[in-house]
This record gives sequence, structure tokens and C-alpha cells, in this order.
Amino acid sequence: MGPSTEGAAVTTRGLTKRFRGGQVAVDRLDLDVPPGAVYGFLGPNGSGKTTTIRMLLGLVSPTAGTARLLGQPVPAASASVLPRVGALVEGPAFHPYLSGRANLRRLDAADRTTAPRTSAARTAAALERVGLSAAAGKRYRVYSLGMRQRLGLAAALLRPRDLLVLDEPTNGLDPQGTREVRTLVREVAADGTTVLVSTHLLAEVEQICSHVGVMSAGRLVAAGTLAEVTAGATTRVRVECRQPAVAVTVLTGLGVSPVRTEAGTVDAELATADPEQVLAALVAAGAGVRQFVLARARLEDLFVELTGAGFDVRG
Amino acid sequence: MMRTAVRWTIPAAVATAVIGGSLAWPSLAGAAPDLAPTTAADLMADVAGSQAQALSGTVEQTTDIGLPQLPSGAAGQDPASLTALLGGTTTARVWSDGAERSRIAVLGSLAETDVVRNGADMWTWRSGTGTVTHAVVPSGRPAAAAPGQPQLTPAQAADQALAAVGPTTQVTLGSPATVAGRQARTLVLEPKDAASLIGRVVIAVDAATAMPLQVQVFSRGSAEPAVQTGFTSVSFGAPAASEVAPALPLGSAVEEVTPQALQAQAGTVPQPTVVGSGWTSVAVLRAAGAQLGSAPSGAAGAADPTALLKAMSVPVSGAYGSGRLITSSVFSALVLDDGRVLVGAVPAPELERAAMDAAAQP
Amino acid sequence: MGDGRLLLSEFLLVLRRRRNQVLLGLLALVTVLIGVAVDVSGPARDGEGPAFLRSITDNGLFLSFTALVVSLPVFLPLVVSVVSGESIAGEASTGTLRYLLVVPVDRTRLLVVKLLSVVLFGLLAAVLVAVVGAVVGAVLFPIGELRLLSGTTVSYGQGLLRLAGVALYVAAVLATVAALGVFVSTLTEVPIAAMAATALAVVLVEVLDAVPQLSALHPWLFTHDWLAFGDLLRDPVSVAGLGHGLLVQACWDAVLVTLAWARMTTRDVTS
Ligand SMILES: Nc1ncnc2c1ncn2[C@@H]1O[C@H](COP(=O)(O)OP(=O)(O)OP(=O)(O)O)[C@@H](O)[C@H]1O
Ligand SMILES: [Mg+2]
Repeated sequence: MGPSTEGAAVTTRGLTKRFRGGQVAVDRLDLDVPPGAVYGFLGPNGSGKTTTIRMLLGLVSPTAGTARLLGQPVPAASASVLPRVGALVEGPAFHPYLSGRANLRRLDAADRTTAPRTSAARTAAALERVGLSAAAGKRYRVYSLGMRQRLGLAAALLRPRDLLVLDEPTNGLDPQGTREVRTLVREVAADGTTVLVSTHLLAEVEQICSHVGVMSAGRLVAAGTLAEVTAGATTRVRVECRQPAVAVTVLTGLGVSPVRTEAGTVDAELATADPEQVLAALVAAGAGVRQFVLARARLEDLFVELTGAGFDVRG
Repeated sequence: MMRTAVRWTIPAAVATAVIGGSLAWPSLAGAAPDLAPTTAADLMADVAGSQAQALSGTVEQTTDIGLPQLPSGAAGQDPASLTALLGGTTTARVWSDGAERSRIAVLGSLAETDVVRNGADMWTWRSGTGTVTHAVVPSGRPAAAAPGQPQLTPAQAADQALAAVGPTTQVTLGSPATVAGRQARTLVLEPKDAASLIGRVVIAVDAATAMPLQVQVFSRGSAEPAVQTGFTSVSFGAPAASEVAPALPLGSAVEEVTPQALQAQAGTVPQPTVVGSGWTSVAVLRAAGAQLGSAPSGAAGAADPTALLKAMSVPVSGAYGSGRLITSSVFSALVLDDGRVLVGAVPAPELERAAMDAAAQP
Repeated sequence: MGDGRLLLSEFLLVLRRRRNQVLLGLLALVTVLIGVAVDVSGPARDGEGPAFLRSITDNGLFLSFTALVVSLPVFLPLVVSVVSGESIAGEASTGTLRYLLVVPVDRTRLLVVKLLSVVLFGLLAAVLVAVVGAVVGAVLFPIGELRLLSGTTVSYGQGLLRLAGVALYVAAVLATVAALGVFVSTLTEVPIAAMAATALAVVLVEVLDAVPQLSALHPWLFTHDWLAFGDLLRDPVSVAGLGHGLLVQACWDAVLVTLAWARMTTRDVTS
């Protein structure tokens, strides 16, 4: 293990899970989540995100490889490290015939490292934080999807954590709830908590994540800071002009291949060309430029580029 | 984290230990002790001269004589019934003050039959009916030998076996054994006549008191006893009065069994004629077949004797007549339609031959 | 493991479950019904009905013993099968198992707590039958000195003491059903399947115990000595049968609990 991984919140080396039946869900995964990062863990359905998270939390035993949480090996040191980790794994799950509060009290009672006397205060604070105080006494059975998700978050936030592992935390939340989760993640991150968040909402990732890792078919296909990862993708330019044909000629001359031409607009991938030079050339050629827009590569495009555009999930 | 395979070896090891332990326990508990040498004759003399002991203990009788399985005793049934004794295991607790007073408690599932004796008085308590019967029996007669009562204790069984020792029996000294945690010498009685179904009778005699602790009857060529009665635990010393003479409900409800009634009950089984001698002798009871239908209640417990007979026997016929044959590993019985019943520790053909004997004619 | 908090939480969870309350209610109802039936129809004749039935009209305390004899073969194991089958499989099916494990709750600790809570529930069920029987018996029938299986009597207080012993013994044999149920429960994520499999396994063993051809096996079947609690009603109390019963239960418990442990600690929780 190199010095670069010292103090990392999550590290895995060669982590592999082959389920009974031969399905390789996670394939020699080397994951590094730096401390303090908000790490977007991305990948299409069935790419192995949840399985990775389960292995980190000791729910599933790896077929091969090692994993460390907050510097300690798991599952060997799970007992000492997991109290510092809050987790939401594949949606919330609670006893349907207990109230939200009673469910949290039960989880709190299961934690031997907390003081029984402050249990009520802890659960109340956690419920308050996710906006569930009013519904705390209702049975979980009658909770709406969003309320359930919030309760799951409350369980993850029952006590101060050093690492939050959130598997699709915004699943089923209304726009308001999605925003609150975003705020919440920012808050805990500001307190120094590392967050590993798996989600399909790429717009959210762009807003809150400092780092991303993209899974595909059990392997990590891209990883790094958000800037590093998106830098690899090409910048696009959209030119709206009176003379599209002229624009196409100019762009081709500069080595920028136009990808699409529509009535009055030309789209192109800029690759290595300097946008200022391109604009100057267009103007000089008299293309009649009305609008010149540079679009930084969007994560979604990158995502599709990395993991394929097909709709079918991997078997 | 231990490997998966390693974890599963732990339950496997526990299961192995449990099974191994339960199989090895009898041989561990029954390890042969080291005892001073003696002779068979001396040992027989010791037994004959041994004093009745004050004791408390538990006796277990196991019968496995190859009879068809009978419906086993349900909870609450009279544990001293005939069906319970013809197959399976019967457990009794015994107390004796070594003199006049004794008590045998035959344990059943949620039931108990107590035979309490004080001199000539004998009370029988049956929990199934909640009743007590009282009888006056001749002094000296073993407590449990009254009609309808099993021959349970090892001492009674040993007395019977030793009484039969004669010229047809070869008596040798067996290897020492541990019975009920006590060191014991063993006597082996072997019929000289190869026609006998009984291979040998082994009597374990307590080294300290010369009291028989266990009697095993083996059928010929068998390594497992067909019938075994012996102490599983015993301690010598006077039992408490409440144990040997429990306060039974001796109110007005006590049913009195008069000596006449006892005689009458005994009389229902006529004196047998004996054909042959020694171990291969056959007892012929005349007009007993009819009596089977009217056996005294209690003798066969709750089971109907006729149905019981049907369940255990097969129909036979021959020059001697026709009837039903019961075979087991240690005895055969022929219940003939003419009312004769022939019983002996011999194979069926011997019985059929005896049935045609002049002395056995109806 | 000095962990009363989780055990309490777990036991309350079991008790708060409406279905479990109904099961306990049915057990109490059976007891009451026996008492009322005997009260209405008068004493049973000899050899009729379950053991002790005949004695209820003599002493109301026998209602407890009769109800335990009646409930022990089917009702009590069924109730324990339901609760134990639910224990791990129920958590797995709702997904709460993964959240307990990431709290973290050590898997061995969770197994022990689950098992103990089911054992406690079995004890509660046995005590409930005994108490309801004693109360209903005292209301409907005379009470006083208790006539034992040996024909002698003991005081009512001594009788209550022996009833407590019987209830404890019944709870001990139900603990084996609990261990079986918890083991089966670790094998599946479908609680109903675990409940049914456990109840069926108990019935199967009871059937084997009733087949005379297997008599050599009988002493080692865990249901064989269930009625050995009768030994507590002898004078003096007999310990050989009880001891053998408890020993056999302990052997089964050891095997079943280690099996459950091996499964629980190696299982992938993917629900
Ligand atoms: N218990 C299991 N047995 C066999 N295969 C499994 C099991 N659990 C998961 N898988 C397989 O492992 C692969 C990865 O699943 P996983 O749940 O990790 O995907 P994911 O990345 O979380 O997907 P999603 O975005 O849909 O949540 C899938 O192909 C899935 O079918
Ligand atoms: Mg997932």
C-alpha cells in the first residue's frame, strides 16, 4: 500500500466478489476515497456498487482482495470501525409495525458504544435533522417512500460519523427532499465527514461531489477528482450563424470536426483547439456569428461514454 | 475472520463429540473392575447366604425378545401393565429396609404404580385410577410377586434363575463388571441342552454385599441380552420412613383384596404339567386358553388380552390340533383351540412334539 | 455478554408483535377452555383424556398440569416455532438485518440475543399456561393439598413450587425448539418457511418417537423426554428421567446452536 493511501477513508485492493452461481459482481476493484472527500460512486444498474458497499460494511465477505475503512482492515476490525461509519444500504429498512422513533431507539440500543441515558436525545436530534420530528410517532408501515428514506438517513446520522456511506440516498425523495439531502451532505462534509455516495442523479453529483469513481461491469473505469475525470472529456462548441456552410469549412480547416449541422447552428467537438482562435477564424471568414457557446463536457455524456449507451443491464 | 469451512467444522465437532460420547459412555461406565479371584461355587454360596439389604435404588428392566411391537404405553397409562413389560424398558424405584418394609414404584410417563409392603400387608397404588388396593399376603413372599405384578428386582430374578440350577446347567464364573457404579462378579449359567432357546443367563453379584445387581438372559448365539433387569443406581442404607412407607390415601376407598380373592386369582391359572426337564422343559396348562379372555384386570393393563394374543401370534395346526403360536427369541408358546397352552424356552417344533406327548393330552 | 439493552429491545420487539400476542392469548384460551369444560361436564372417567384430567376436580392446580400436558406436544412448540422461525429470517426479509449488522452488532452477539429472546418467550408461554391454569383452577375448583403421582400429598404451596419447576422444565425443552428454529431461520430469508420447517421438524421427531421400530433411537430424540416433568410430581422427586431429558436437550442445543452460529457468521447478507 503506497503512501498516497495513508489516511484514506476507504481503500480497496483487488476487491472481488463472485456470488454463488458464478456471477462476478465486483472484479478486482481498487478504490481510494480520500479523507474529507464527497465521493460520487457511479455506475449503471448492476455494475457492482451496492455489492462493493456491502463488502465494505462486512455484510458480504469478499471472494478475494482487501478493504480498509478509516485506515482499519474490514471485516477484521469492523467492530471498532463501524461505529464511526453511518450507512444507508440499498434503501431504508425498518420494522413496519414500530414507529420511526421506536425503530431508531432499537438501532441505538444495539450500539454498545453509546450511552443508554442519552438515547432519547440522540434519536430526537437525528429525526429533527431529517425533518421527521412530526411523523416520529407514526408506524413505519404508513410512511411514504420519502419519509422512509429520511428515516434511513436519520439512522445513518444517529451519532457523529467519520464516514457516511450512502447508497442512493435520494431515491424516492421529492425535489425538496433531494435538495435537503444535498444540503445535509454538504453540512456533514463541512464537519469533516467523508461521504461515499452512490447515486444515479448525475446533476447532484456535479453539485456536491469533490471526487467521482465510475463502475462498469464490476470494474472501476474512471476515478479521481470531479475536475480530473471530466477534464478527460472533450469540450463542445455550438456556433449559431448566418452562414453554417462557411462555419463548417472554417472548423474543418482548423481540425475541428463538426458533429452536427442544423438550420443556423453547428455543433462541434473542440478537442485540443483553442476556442479563442476558433472564434476569431469564424469571424474573419464572415460566417456571421450570432452566438458562440462553449459547453464543458457534462458528466452524463462522460458516463455514457465510459459505460456504454445500451439500455440493457449486464446479466 | 475464520474461513467458512473452518466455522462449519465446529458444529461438526460438537455433533461428533455428542454422538461419540453417548456411544462410549456405557463402556466407560461399565469398565471391568479388578477383584480378588473366587470360584463359581463360592459365589453361588455367597449369594445364597447374602442378607437382605436396606437400600434405595433404581431398577431398569429391558425386554427385547423379538415379539411384534405392541402399542407402547401412552402417557398416564399403568406403567406396570403386561404390554409395558413384554417389550421396551420399564423403570422402577425401589426402597427396602432390609426387613419387613419395602416399596417398588414403577415409573410411567406421567403415571406411577406403587407396591408398598409392610410385613403381611401389601398396598398397591395406581395413579391412573387414583385407587389403592390392600391385600394380606403370606409373609416372606416377595413383594412384587403378587398376581398382576411384574418380577422386577434383580434379586428376585436371580433367585429364580439360581433355583433352576441343576444337572442340566453349567455354572461358570464370568468376567467382573461394573453395575450401577458398583464392582460386581458375574455368574454365567449355561443350559447344557442345545435345544434350549436360552444361551446363557448372566448374574452380576455385588462384590461387597453378594446381592445380585443385574440379571441378563441371552438367547442362543446372541450378544445382546433379550431380557435384562438390573440396578442403574443403588445405595445401601436404611431409606427414610416416608420413602419406604409413603402415606398413601388409606381411607374408605381402599379396595380390599382378600386372601380368598388372591387364591382365586392364582387359581385361574391351573397347575401346569411339565413335559421334559431342565431348561428344555415345557409347561402345559390345561383349560388356560379360555382363561386368557377373563384374565384378572391389571394383569394385562388396559389392553384386551384376546387382541394382544392376536397381535403377537400366528395361526398353526398339525397332528396335535390347531391354535396360535407365539415365538420369541427366548421362549415359544402354543395356545391351542382345545384350551391347552404350552410354554417353554424351546423352538416351536419342540412345543409341537410336547403337545403330542401322552402327559400333555387334554 | 453483559448486554441487557439489546436483549430487552429484542424481547420487547417480540412481545409487541400483535401476532405473538394472539398466540399467547390462544395458549391461555386453551387452558381456560379445559377448565370450563371440566367444570361443565364433571370429572373425567379413569383413563379418559390427557393425564391429570381426572384430578382437576379434586384440586384446581391440576388444571395447570393438564394444560401443560395438552399444550406441550403441539401448541407450545408451534408458538416457539413461529417466534424462532421469525427471528433471523424475519430481519433478513425486512432488510433490518443489514442495518443491525452495520450498527455494528456482532453476528454472534445478535444470534445469542435472538436465541435468548425466543427462549424467554418460551418461558413466558409456559409460565402463562401454568399461571392461567392455577388461577382458573383456583376459581372453578377446590384447592388444597396436592396428591402426587406416588399417591402421597404435599401442601398447596409445595404444589405451586413443583408447578414452577414443571414450567421451568417445559421452558427448557422449548429452548431446544428455539435453537432449532433459530438455526433454520439463519438458512433462509423467508420467515414463513423457517416457521413451517421448524414446526414440521418437531412434528417429525414426535412421529419418529412414536414408531416402535425405532425404539433404539428414542432416548436420543429431543421430544422423547418432554413428559419427564412428571418426575417432579413423584415422592420423592425423581431426578434420573429429568436429568436425562435435560442432558439430551443440552446435546441438541449444543449442536443446533453451533450450527446456527456457523451459518450466521458466514452468511452473505444480500437482502
Ligand atoms: N445475492 C446475489 N447473488 C447473485 N448475484 C448477485 C447477488 N447480489 C447481487 N448480485 C449481482 O451482482 C451484480 C451487481 O449488483 P449490485 O447490486 O452491486 O449492483 P448496483 O451497482 O448496486 O446496481 P443498482 O444501480 O441497480 O443498484 C448484479 O449483476 C447482480 O445481479
Ligand atoms: Mg445498488
